[in-house]
Amino acid sequence: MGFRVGDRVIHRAFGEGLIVEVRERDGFEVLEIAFADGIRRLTSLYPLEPARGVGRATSAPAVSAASASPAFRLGTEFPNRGKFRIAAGAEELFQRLVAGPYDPARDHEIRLRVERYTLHRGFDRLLCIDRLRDVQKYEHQIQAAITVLRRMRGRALLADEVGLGKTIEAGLILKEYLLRGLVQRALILVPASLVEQWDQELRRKFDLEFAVLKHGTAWWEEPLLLASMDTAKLLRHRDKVAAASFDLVIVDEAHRLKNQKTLAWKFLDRLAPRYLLLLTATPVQNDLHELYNLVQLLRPGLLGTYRAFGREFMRRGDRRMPQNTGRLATLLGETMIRTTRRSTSIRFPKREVTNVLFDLTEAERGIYDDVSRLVRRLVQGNKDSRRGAIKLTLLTLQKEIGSSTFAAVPTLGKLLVRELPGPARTELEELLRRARAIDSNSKYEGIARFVETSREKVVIFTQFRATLEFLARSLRAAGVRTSVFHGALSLREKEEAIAQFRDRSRILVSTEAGGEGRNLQFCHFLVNYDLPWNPMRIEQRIGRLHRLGQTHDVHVFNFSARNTVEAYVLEIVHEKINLFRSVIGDLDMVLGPYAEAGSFDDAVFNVWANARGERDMEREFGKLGAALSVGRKRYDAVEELDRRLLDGLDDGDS
Amino acid sequence: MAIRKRQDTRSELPEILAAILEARGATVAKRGSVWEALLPADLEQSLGTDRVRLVAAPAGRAARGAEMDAAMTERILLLGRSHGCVTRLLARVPAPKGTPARERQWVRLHWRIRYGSDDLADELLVQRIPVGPAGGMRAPADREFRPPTPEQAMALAAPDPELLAAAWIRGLRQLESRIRFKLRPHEDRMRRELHREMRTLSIHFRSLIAEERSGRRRRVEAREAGRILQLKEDWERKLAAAVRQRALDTEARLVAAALLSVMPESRGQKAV
Repeated sequence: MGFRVGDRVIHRAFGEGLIVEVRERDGFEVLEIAFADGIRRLTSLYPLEPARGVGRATSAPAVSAASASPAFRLGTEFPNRGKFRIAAGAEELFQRLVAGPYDPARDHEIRLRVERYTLHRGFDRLLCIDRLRDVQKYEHQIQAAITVLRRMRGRALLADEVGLGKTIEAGLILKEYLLRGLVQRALILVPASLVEQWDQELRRKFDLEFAVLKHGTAWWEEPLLLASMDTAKLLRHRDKVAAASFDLVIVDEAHRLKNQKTLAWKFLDRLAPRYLLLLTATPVQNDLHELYNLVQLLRPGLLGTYRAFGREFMRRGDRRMPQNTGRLATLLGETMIRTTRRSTSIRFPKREVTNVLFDLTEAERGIYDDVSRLVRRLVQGNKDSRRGAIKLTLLTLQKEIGSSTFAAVPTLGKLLVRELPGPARTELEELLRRARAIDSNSKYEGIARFVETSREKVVIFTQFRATLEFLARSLRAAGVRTSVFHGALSLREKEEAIAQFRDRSRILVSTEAGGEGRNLQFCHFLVNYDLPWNPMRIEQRIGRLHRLGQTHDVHVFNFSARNTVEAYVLEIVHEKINLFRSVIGDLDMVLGPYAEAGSFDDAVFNVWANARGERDMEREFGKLGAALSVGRKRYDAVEELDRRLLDGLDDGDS
Repeated sequence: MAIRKRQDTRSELPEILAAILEARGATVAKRGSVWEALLPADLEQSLGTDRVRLVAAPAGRAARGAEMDAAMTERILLLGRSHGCVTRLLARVPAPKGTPARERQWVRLHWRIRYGSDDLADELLVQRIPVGPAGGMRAPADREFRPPTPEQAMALAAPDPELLAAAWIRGLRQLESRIRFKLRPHEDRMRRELHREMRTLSIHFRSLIAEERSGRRRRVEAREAGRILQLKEDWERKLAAAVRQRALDTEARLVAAALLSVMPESRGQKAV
């Protein structure tokens, strides 16, 4: 019949339609006809009649929109089916194609560029999601990334609890910015012990090649640079890094920037990148001003001045407890994301905690008691200006002797060097001689028993290198494959130690250097050979194993000797604040009452060193425990307040 | 005219803004990564300033949070979006052997599609629809098209209103199919979002969860479980309503249209 595009036809069943396409296939004309209920494809063999009053289209000279054929009534041709709507003005715009007026091509191009540009600002859909490899993504991570990209404009404090994947969130944001071309130069600052791990994760999971800061190279010219904070802030480096003008800076373990007076804080403030991500599970450790200092880097002025912040948001006499929580939450919500384990649906494996108490041998007990007496005497008797420095040394000594006699030897040696000839020097010489004479440690029995009765891999944490070496030596002598991890290893050696432990060794003996950020989920047994007095460090240790990806329940063994500081600390953190079942986020406020007296370490040491007899000490530790219990209850009350606050916000939203 | 294929990026923003101002009559000078635009009277009145300074990559404390004056940026972008919508472009291509060398036309439509609220992605959909039968010929790539000279414009055939109407209807039908298809992933996403909110609501039941995790016996277990179930059902209802609403809220906006004329030329003819 010779149909053409633009012909109006009437179909017996579908009514009037407009031919929008004519194709020829196998000698037949295949027509696409727009009927009221949609486009149908028919062959010309169907009985079709031309619509009355409307002829076939012919090539016509230019006509104005006003004088166009009555058939060109676009709105009537497209019934609104309720699925979506065409914004007003579309038909008029299209009609201008008939006769103009046409706009200059340059204006047209600018319009399109603007439209395309404004598309990028949404970050509704993460482009990077499909380009990740070997990443188990969780909804809270994706949402955190979108929130940072969209709402926080790339400047955020990622304060998820340990193990919820802050690194992944930061990686998502970084990758997204790079894909969208919004970041050309990025710098990642991490603790030195984590450089290798970050490098590997960025390569493996995000397909990003970061240059690692190396001496003797023009590393500051690299567009993507990974460096340890300590190296980058060195006097000879900091100017070059600052001059490199990075678009995005990511800082891991950002609680190290809690003090405005530190070099690290000032260095980062000077970098002034366009986008800045601070990662830490513990933004507040001792003082709410630490949070202020972090936020000050991200959004200067958001929380007002230092003093105004203290006045408005901190309770008088309590630097940890906030007031005006509603307003503070609102302000922090502009720059901080904190996902808690409770707020996700992720099931974490349980923590099974076993406290193992040992009796020291006679020689160990003797030296422990003598060192404690020495510490007390020096602390109580020393009132001079050097008291602070000496106190720190004595605190370290007390911790060391609680770990093992091997750990105490170097500090005893240092004290001996300082001491002038006299009775005190003789006493120190005697202690040093006795410490050196001991070649075993009673707590090692626990390790030996574990090795005999179990085939599982286990991470043994100690704070001190000498204890670590003793353990490694003893285990290897017993024929147990043992890897060691400590701060003095090179980056490569550290990675090798972790790889060796994963693939071949049964035991990893690690100092605190292994406690930050290293993933050891493939193992689910942990021994605290000595117990850090800072509960946050304990949490960080456990968090290395008890995190996303861990499929087994995690078994934590806490070793301590009876009648030592560690035994008291263990009792407090386990019995009074239930640390081993809690998460780090809970701890901030629980420990709050001790902000005034300094860190929890100091509080413990003060009780130990200033006690006048065993009863006095027990009473003081009892007070400490009771105060923490109060802190726990106080925290519960604050949590309840938070809950009420969040409920209120939800209601407001809905 | 060449349509840029690569994505416009933040670093190109000053360049875009400068181009907008220049197209509206401003005098633009570029020094390094800084553009200076002296505005004509009409722009001065609408933007409230006689000159605008555009900086590509500001650094330093003052630049934090806002790379430029955000309000001014938005206003200039708005100028760009309010100007230049319809144009006519021409491409001269070699004629296929054995086919008559006659002019063919396409319309190129740029649709901005907003799926429900601003939380869902906008997209810029480009359609190329033949005006009348294309005779098996495909539309040349965008880079082949140039604005016609006045002489060429005079020689070009005027578009047939009937054929144009058919192209319009065809474009709308395609658009509808695409939107129906695209809504499905958004529905899934919506479902996930609401389920996440549901999980957030579990904050109400923290005590129950804590008891579960600690292995202690649950108190008034049945009552709590019933409440959670009720809550879940409420959310499912909300989900269905929200998805329905978003589907209805989907809007397509025609932001630009171009009439593309293709002039096949037999070999030996001089191309433009």
